[in-house]
Amino acid sequence: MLPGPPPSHSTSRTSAQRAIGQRVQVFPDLDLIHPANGNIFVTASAGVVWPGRGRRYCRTRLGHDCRWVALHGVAPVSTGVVQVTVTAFQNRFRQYAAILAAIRCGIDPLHSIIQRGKVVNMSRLLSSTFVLLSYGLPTFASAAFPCVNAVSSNDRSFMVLVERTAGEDGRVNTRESTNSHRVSLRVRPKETFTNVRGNSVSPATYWTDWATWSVVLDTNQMKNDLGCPLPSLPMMVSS
Amino acid sequence: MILLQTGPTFADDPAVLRIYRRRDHPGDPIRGVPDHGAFVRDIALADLWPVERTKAMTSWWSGAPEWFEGGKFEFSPDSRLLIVTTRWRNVIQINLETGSLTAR
Repeated sequence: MLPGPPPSHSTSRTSAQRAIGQRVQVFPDLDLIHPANGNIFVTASAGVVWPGRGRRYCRTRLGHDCRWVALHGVAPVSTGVVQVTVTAFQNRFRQYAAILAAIRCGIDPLHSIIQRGKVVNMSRLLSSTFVLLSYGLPTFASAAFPCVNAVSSNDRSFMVLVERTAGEDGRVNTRESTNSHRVSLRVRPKETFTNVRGNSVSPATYWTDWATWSVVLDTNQMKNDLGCPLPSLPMMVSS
Repeated sequence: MILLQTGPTFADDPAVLRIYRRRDHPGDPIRGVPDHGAFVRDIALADLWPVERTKAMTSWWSGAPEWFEGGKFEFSPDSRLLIVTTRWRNVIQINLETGSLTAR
């Protein structure tokens, strides 16, 4: 299972500060700082050192191949800052997914330190810390946006249902499903039950079983979201 | 229908809002031709945010606020305009039929 979003934190603690002094083995406090220059900085628990540079090949539980990840990471024990450089990606979503995949591939940095006797590179420590502090000052933060499968229109007379075809992993409508082939957004009007026997007096809102119109998205051509298999959610609908 | 981008967002992203509308000529229900709607326009972050704020947006991290956080989305009474208010209180009107933008 991929790690969830980092817990909400106040403005008083930077990512580096959160990392210092923690000793956790599987990156529960994973946080990603993603500058636009293509480098990704991973902050995690204290003592994190990636076990080497260059390409790593691994496969996640979900079957995502993360062999494109080039990890250039040496992190100081004192801060737990890891610099990860990622190359050869099609989009940012895959960058992010690859980083998560690499982290979930069983890399055990603490163990690697002991086994390989890595020496902390102090110059890299300083530069990494500087960059981290430069980018890692959250002003405010909150949980990731939830995945939704339906949304009503502004005047509540229409509803949009999100229908996803199964991806290669066979999953649909889950956070873990990151490769849905197609997403259809179907606009359905409200059912009014006029001139029918047994007219409903329920205060509930009913929706038709047919769509007046729809939008079909090709997820291969769109930027994907981190948390949801659909690129852009939620929707606002004006009727 | 407006799709709202969530998650990682950068100033050079082609769209943070993607607007579709129902076609003027609906699909052919007899022959089963669906009405897949019409794409109107992609709205980039630079179209909505102040220039200085866009330039300053050089990073994204997992705890970063969504680009629309602290702002507001409203529809005009006739549902022809989407009125976007950013967290810095600048207001942009988007014509949902044409995709044209007007700063207010």
